[in-house]
Amino acid sequence: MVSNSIRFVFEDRIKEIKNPDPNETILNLIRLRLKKTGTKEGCAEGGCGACTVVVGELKKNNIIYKAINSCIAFTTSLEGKHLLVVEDLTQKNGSLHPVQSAMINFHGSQCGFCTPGFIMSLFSMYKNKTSYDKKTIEESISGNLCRCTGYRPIIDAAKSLKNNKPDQFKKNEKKTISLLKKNTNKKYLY
Amino acid sequence: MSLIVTKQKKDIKNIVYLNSIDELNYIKEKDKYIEVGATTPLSKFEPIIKKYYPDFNRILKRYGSVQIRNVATLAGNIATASPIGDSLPLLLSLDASISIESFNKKMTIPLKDFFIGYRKTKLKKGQFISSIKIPIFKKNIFKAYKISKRIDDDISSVCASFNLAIVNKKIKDIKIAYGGMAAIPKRAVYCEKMLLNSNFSEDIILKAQKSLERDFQPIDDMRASKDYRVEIAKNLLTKCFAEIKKNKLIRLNY
Repeated sequence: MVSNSIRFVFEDRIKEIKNPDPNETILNLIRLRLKKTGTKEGCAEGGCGACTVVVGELKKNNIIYKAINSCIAFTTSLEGKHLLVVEDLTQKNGSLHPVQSAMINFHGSQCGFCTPGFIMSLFSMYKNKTSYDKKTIEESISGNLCRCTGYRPIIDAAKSLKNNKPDQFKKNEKKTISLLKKNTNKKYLY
Repeated sequence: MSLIVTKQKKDIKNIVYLNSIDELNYIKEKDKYIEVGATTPLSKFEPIIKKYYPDFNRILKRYGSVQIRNVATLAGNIATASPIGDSLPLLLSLDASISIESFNKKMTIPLKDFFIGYRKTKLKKGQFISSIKIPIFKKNIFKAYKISKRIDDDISSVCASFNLAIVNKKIKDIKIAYGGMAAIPKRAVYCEKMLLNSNFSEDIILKAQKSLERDFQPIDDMRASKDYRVEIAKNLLTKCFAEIKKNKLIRLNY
């Protein structure tokens, strides 16, 4: 099948974008088309991290989560992947992800503009690492700039994290994997 | 590349997104070399290269943030051919080669022949880089330095990379490459010639420093002046040898 649309997993469903514009960034897709404005545009050149989102890829029955800069990645690169934006971290009943709670408890947000990006970088760290020492934390947020809170409360928030209980994504993993498989098993004919 | 759209406000008509090609996302560790598929992200390459060349990994940590390294590739850095692409002097001093493919054709060329001018390469229409081969120099000393105004997430003023062997107190098999010193990332051939087969001495290092002036005539820009660039290039050469001496990797004949 030759396709003129791209499909990716978003909000527990397969989202299809027909005739995607090769010039559309993931950031513009999220803010303008998906109408999720939690993800911010800062520098628009991959320096400040305000636009950080997490993309899940299926590798041997595991989902690998990676933080990326959505302002310099194109929509078309989402084909077959799982897109997670800051809004996805709060569950439908309003309960917050451990990373979000930690940022609140340690006063890690002031003006709030950089916060969604920090949350997503820390969420990616939460998913990929098992212990959160200072070095791991600093590397994880090395691509996020904050100009008012300062990094100390953010680092304190990250240090407080404990990944001992599965989060909602872990609980929902089987469903996400089956969606990703359904989506990537498409056969292309050239 | 997306900066063409977001900053230069131009439209790209078509994009072939190679990063989704799983067959090019691999690292092969052989006895004499490492082969890296073109779509392998730097975040996957880092723990591998760290085993052979710790300095390479150290530079990659400053190449860009986690978000960048999760997407960025060596092949992308090579094809962009920026004179300040941070992996390029390192790959040049390690004598890396690249495979270039087009429909039904494949060829391998040394990286040092790939760059032909400012952001110009030998890559022709219809061709793409499919893999990078990095030789493993088991007995060599490999060092790399990045000079930038900030430690993290900054563009190099100068990036230098040294790969050499010391045999019976003589400098052998030396390859030196610099970024930020010319329109392309480039080997310091005159400097290499000066040092090759010579004994380690203060005198020869001074001469080698001088020969860097023949190798490079850098420009002034917002990151560094040309004088600063020449000075820092010379100093990095000295730093490399001072560190080798300090770590007793060789006895200097002062």
